Amino acid sequence: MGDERDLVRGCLQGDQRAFARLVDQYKALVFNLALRTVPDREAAEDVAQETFVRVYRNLASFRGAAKLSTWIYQIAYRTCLEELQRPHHRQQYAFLDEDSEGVGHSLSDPAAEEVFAQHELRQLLDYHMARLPPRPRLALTLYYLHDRRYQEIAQIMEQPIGTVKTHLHRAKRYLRQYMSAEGANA
Amino acid sequence: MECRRCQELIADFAAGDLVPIQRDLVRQHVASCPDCRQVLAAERRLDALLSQQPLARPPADFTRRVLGRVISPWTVPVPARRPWLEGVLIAGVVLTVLAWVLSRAANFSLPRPLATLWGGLGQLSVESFAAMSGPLGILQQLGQSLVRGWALVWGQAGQAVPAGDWGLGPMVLLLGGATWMLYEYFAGEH
Repeated sequence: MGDERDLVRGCLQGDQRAFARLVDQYKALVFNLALRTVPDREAAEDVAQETFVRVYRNLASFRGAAKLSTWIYQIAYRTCLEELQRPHHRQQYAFLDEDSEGVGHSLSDPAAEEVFAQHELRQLLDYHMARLPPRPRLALTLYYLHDRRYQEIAQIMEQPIGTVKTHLHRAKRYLRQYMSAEGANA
Repeated sequence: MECRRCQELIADFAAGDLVPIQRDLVRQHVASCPDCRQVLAAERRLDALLSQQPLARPPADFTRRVLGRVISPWTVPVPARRPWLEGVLIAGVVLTVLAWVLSRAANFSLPRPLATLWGGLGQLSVESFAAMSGPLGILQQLGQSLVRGWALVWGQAGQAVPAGDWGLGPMVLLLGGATWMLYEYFAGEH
């Protein structure tokens, strides 16, 4: 926490090296969050850059109430959602059914494991994650790729913990169902 | 415990997020129910897959490109309120309103030295805020601006200058300066 304060203070005093350190420290996380949100690498890089530009411009308003990483994620999250509002990113998302019955579970099926090599499963997972609506997808990304806990994800998304859990559960149920369906067809 | 309830809790069970009572109930149910056992296995498999997703590396020049976008005189972060900027802002707004009111008065003329000062202020509002180098920078600009302001309102010393001749230009310049300062102020706060 003390290091974070020093970093922020350095940036506010116009120390470019301090800001470069801050970007270096968080760029991988922000870039990967963006990469999971927008459809291509170039757009993800733009979103990640825009996130850090906003971080820089708003550093004076960072009061240290939350961790610096949480605050940066909040900005990244908002920037990602804004980017998805642009007309050229509009797409049809999967419908996450609230009360669907018959949860698929072929991921544990040894036969399906034989059909899909590990990397193929990952590709399949990527494909279906990209079809998730933005908020469940971002919740899932923050939870697994970035190893954030419910409390912090709720802070980042500015939503109650219960809502975050609902996003996660529905997203995972959807992934299990559709990956199961793909497995059956293969 | 019913299968439906068990499967609702299975994600939290796999993540270790259940309270002990719920955890024991799920554990007991899963031990005796093949379907829910399979769902739990699927949940763990998906957890493992999601956790093992590789992180992509940002481009090598990412930091340099971000710095290129933010390090410029236009986007220096505002560390705190700048009292001198507020003072100049208020003065700019007051003088602008004054210029407008006086320029409406048909018979009003401004003495030559004041007209010169006014023209200088107009210049100052644009040039010094373009530099944004603090109070000393403004003082430095002041001398030059007064000279330019003198040229702006030509004439012989001691003569009065009609309001219409000097009112509009400085007013526009000051309004521009004031708007800029407001932008700087609020952009820095949020």
